Amino acid sequence: MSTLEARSLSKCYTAVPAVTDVTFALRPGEVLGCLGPNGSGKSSTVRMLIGLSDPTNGQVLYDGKRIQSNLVEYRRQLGYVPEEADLYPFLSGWEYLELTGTLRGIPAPQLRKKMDTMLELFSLHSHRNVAMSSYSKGMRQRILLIAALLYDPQLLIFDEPLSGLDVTSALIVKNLIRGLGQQGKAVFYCSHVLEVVEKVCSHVMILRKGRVLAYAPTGELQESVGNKTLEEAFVHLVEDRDAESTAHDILKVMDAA
Amino acid sequence: MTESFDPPRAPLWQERFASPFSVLVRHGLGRILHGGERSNSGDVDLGFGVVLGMLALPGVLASLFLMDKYGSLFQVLRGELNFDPYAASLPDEYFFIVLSMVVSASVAVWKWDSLFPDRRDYNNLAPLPIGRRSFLLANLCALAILTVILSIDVNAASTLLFPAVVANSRSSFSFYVRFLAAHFVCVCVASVFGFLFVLCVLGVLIWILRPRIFHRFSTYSRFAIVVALLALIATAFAVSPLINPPGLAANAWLRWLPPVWFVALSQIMLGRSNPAFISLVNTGWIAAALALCVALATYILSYRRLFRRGDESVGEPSDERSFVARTIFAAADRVVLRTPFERAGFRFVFRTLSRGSDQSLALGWFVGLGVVVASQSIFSAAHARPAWPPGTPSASALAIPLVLAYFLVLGLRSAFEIPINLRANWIFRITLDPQANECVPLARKVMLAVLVPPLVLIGLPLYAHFCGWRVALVHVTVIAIASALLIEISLLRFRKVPFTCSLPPFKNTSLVAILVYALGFFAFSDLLSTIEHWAFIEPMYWLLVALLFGAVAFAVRELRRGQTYIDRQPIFEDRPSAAVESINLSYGP
Repeated sequence: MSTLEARSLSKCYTAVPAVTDVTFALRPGEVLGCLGPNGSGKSSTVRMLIGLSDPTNGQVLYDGKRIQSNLVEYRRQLGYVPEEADLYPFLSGWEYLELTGTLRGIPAPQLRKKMDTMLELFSLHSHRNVAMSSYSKGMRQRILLIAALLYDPQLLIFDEPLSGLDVTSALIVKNLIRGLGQQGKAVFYCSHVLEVVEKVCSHVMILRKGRVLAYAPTGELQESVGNKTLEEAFVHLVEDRDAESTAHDILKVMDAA
Repeated sequence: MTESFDPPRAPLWQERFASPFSVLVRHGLGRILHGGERSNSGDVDLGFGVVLGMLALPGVLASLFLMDKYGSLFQVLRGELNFDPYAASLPDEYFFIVLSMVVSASVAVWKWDSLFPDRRDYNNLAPLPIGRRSFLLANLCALAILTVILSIDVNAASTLLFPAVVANSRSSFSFYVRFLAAHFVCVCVASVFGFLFVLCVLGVLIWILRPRIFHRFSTYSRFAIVVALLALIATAFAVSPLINPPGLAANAWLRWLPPVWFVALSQIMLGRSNPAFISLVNTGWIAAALALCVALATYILSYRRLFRRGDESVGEPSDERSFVARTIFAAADRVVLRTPFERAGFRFVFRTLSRGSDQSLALGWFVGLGVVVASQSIFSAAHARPAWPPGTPSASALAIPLVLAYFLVLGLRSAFEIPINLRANWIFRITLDPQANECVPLARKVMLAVLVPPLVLIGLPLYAHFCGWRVALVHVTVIAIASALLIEISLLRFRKVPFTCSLPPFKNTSLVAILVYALGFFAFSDLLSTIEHWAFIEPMYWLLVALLFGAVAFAVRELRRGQTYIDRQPIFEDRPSAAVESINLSYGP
């Protein structure tokens, strides 16, 4: 069975370490939630996992082989939803999906059928021929999700997939991620929304300042900090400042103005 | 006891400069310069100083080129002892007026998408406590400031240099001052008129067309304006000898050429008034006033329209995808596009060319230039007196499609370099096989798809009609082979997915490349059409044509074979070569 493995991954940007010694393994059927405050190295890790940037040290293995040894083949197994919905604004949703689907080598009749159904399921069918420049953030996010799911990948990497989604779509995606795990797909899920990670992910990895602070099955992690919720566990492990007092300070500054 | 500290008051001019209105004006200027909602200015954004320098450059060069014409020593050497600077400067004045109009109008065409407020403005500014009237006035002020800066910048160099060059022939300071004043007024008015004219066209289109139709139509409109501007430049030296009372009487159409109005104004200011010039100037003033009124009216109307429909979150639903486009793409899939990348890339390239504003504008400039140059070939062909066997086309007639093909290929090649939304290219980065080397086949097929259909559907029947089927078939075959070779030459060092790589840096070899392209034009259109013309008269010359094609094909093949693995790797960032680079020997096929 294909496993995604990160071995001692490190990444430095002009001598500034963004990621240091990150190690984990993602097996089929597992949903690994990656948590961390801003600047903790989540996006850098994701870029290395996709092969968009090379690690300074360490390696990413898929099925026991370095992904760089056959990046094209590796990416054939990969579905990716980036953090920012960077899309070509002059293309319509339909045209963008056609572009990604064709680049993935899906035969045209099958692609058209899948696109039609997916657009319908994600409530975008009526907007399929509208330029994406006029799409809302949530609509663009849904297009990215469809693009990642069109060709049945074995490994999925989601970077904040719920960003901008409405309640219904977010619920659909949450159930979908769980379902993908149950289907035997490996899912790497980056998020700031701790409740979702708690409900959806079988394993959790917490990053702070580029280092792995905790990596364990979700239940085990919660037990290790005294059966707290994931949010409480996260605050316990990561936050070095009191959120309540910071909010109080902000209010004081506003009053002073 | 704590002492209260009052910061020192800023001077009044600074406070005024920081008032909400002036901030809005500055924002409006910045928005126009750095692009609006639909532009991709993040990818193609030059600094303001660079842009101003580039716009002033044509005036400097044109003035310096005229040195020898007005230098008294050169006049003596040429035997021009009764040199009349007024009469001699009229064609040059006309050229400067045309240049000023063309440069200003080109800036307006370039900034087409950001001249009017758009939905991004609405989204950002409408929630702020700013009156709509203030917003409108601030945008109008920004446009007015830009127009003034533009007209001064474009004409500053020629205003100082050209009168100085002309005054060389007559050592009189009063002549210099008078000439300078007349020149400055005329070129500035022409510049403002050029800018306002484009603004009028844009405003009217925004006002009369629905948004979706407007976006499609604006590409055609910009192309039409570009062709008109290029035609003005190309005909400048043919028109100027006609600007005198007899010439104007014999050519009534000159009355409707805007630069002629402003050249008449300069002549009146120089004291060379006559009824024909006075009538032209009157027409000019009416036209300028009309342009100003229409531009203002359409600006206000489109602004109202923006705020009326600004809260629409999603654009108008469009009709089903075009049946014609679907059929063409499906046919291309079956016949020429072999890999999934080619099929996806082909659609992507055509959609970007038709919808990306910078890309379509770049292509439009090249095609427009091609149309103007080809129209001169048509003119020569129509007026040629044949001294060769009947049915044999002249070299000018044969050159027409070659000229168009040359500019089309060059235009496409240049447009491919202009990125669109670089941050979105990740989809190509993660799907493109770096070892498959598919970028060149894709670019080649796009170029052929643009070139071949018009050649077969328009060129072949036209040549068959005028010269017979035999000549038409032979000529179309020659053009097809020549164009295919030109495409190969243009793609020699190409290793990008079109529109997905950052702009190439200016290299030391860029000027040489421009020179080579200019020489290539003469070789491709003039030389080839002349040899082909001889070949139609004397069939032995076909051997020369075949030899020429064979030599070029061989050279291209050898150059391609000499390329290393690294030279063929697709790139998404075009960086200048580093002084020291690692060879990375472990990476390769």
